[in-house]
Amino acid sequence: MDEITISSAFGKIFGMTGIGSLDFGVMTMLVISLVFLYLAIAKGFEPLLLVPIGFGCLLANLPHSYMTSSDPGGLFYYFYQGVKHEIWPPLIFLGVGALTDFGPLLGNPITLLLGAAAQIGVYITLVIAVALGFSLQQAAAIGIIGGADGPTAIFLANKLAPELLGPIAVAAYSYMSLVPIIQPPIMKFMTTEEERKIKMEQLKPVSQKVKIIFPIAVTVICLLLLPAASPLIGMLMLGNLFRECGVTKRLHETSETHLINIVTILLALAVGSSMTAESFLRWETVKIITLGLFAFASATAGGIILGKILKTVTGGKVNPLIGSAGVSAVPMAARVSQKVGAEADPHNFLLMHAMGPNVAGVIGTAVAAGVMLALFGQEAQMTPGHAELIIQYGADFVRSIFFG
Amino acid sequence: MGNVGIALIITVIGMGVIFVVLAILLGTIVLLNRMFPYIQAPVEPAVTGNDSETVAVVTAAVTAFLKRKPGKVTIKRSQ
Repeated sequence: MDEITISSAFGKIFGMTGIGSLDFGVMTMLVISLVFLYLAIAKGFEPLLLVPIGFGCLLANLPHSYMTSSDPGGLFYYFYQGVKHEIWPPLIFLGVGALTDFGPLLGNPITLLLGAAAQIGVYITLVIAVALGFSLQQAAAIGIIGGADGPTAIFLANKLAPELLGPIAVAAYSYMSLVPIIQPPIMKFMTTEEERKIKMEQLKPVSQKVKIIFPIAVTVICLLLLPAASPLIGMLMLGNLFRECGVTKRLHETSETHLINIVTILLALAVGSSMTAESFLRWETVKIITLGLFAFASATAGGIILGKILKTVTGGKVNPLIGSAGVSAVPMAARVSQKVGAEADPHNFLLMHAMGPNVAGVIGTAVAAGVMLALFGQEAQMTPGHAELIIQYGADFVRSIFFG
Repeated sequence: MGNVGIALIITVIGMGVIFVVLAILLGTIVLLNRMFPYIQAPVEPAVTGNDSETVAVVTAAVTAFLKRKPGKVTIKRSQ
């Protein structure tokens, strides 16, 4: 046995503590985790998510804690399996479906198109991300931040670019919490005072039978067309069926309260534990955060542009402000439409009208994710050769229509 | 063709697919609303039974709310 002196004993003990392993990267991540906690607790930014994400990040970055998502045998390693094997995001969607009333969408179905238009932010960001040097898979995962849907962003990032999961999740949830700050300037810039004052007709009531059949119909239609979106759309619609069918009260209540809360804790801790200095402190993170903001802004603009087109087509019956709710972020984006509309005219109540495009945005983002998975998933990866084939087929198709 | 070119093609294809899928859903909703139109449920009278029962129920509710004894409260017909 080696001789133990007082100084060597202290040296050994110090080496065993985390203090001896603190370096610049670890210290920076600890500060970042504290910033998340501050923003969540003091500023109220998405506290239900940022508190567990921030605390997960704190635990993962304390040296020798073995609490990162990649420490085999550590607690968060097991939590992270729910992300890795795509269990938590679909379960969150089950809860979202149970919480969401599709009535406003069913009462004014044209608003579905606003949910589609807002997805342009996803694709514009995809193009810019590729131009900045990201691979197509990484760019697709970054672009989906524009869908303003955290579970979908995590789901797609894990499938296409797991190495970017931390920054993408943080960007998605941070910008979702900043919707009331990001959207209003864009909405005011793109609409006139007169447009913001437009009052919309009262929504038509919808029969309960329609509310029950709708989630089943969406599941069949969407999943026949885009099987890759099955976990997200399937669970979203099952949750909504629990809500509307009237015979699964206990399942509905569990889905919209305890289940979604438990899964949110597990998911957020898993995401936070994946944010280590090696994975987060990279130049790509800055790019992703910037691209995420751009994705949000362009998605908002896309919805408003179609809102203005619908206003013209319907002879002024649609207030373009509800287009901005086409980004998912339920129900915050709809509340922002209501707030900006009420600023122009205090008697203008747009909230329920904006809920239509808002829930359409959830479906639209899930469909956009399905498209990305169909193109870039493990089963089918698009290559330059595929792209040229598609162009060739498209050109042949157009030629056959016009020239026989 | 570079990756930016592919990304542009994906943008056109992706937005096209999203609009087609959501347009099909729109048609489905319109169809469902026509097949199963909303029918206003007939409004039932709020209170049934004879006058004395009604007065007893209203008195109990009001006294409980006001935290007074039943004898201290008088219920009168307004019309």
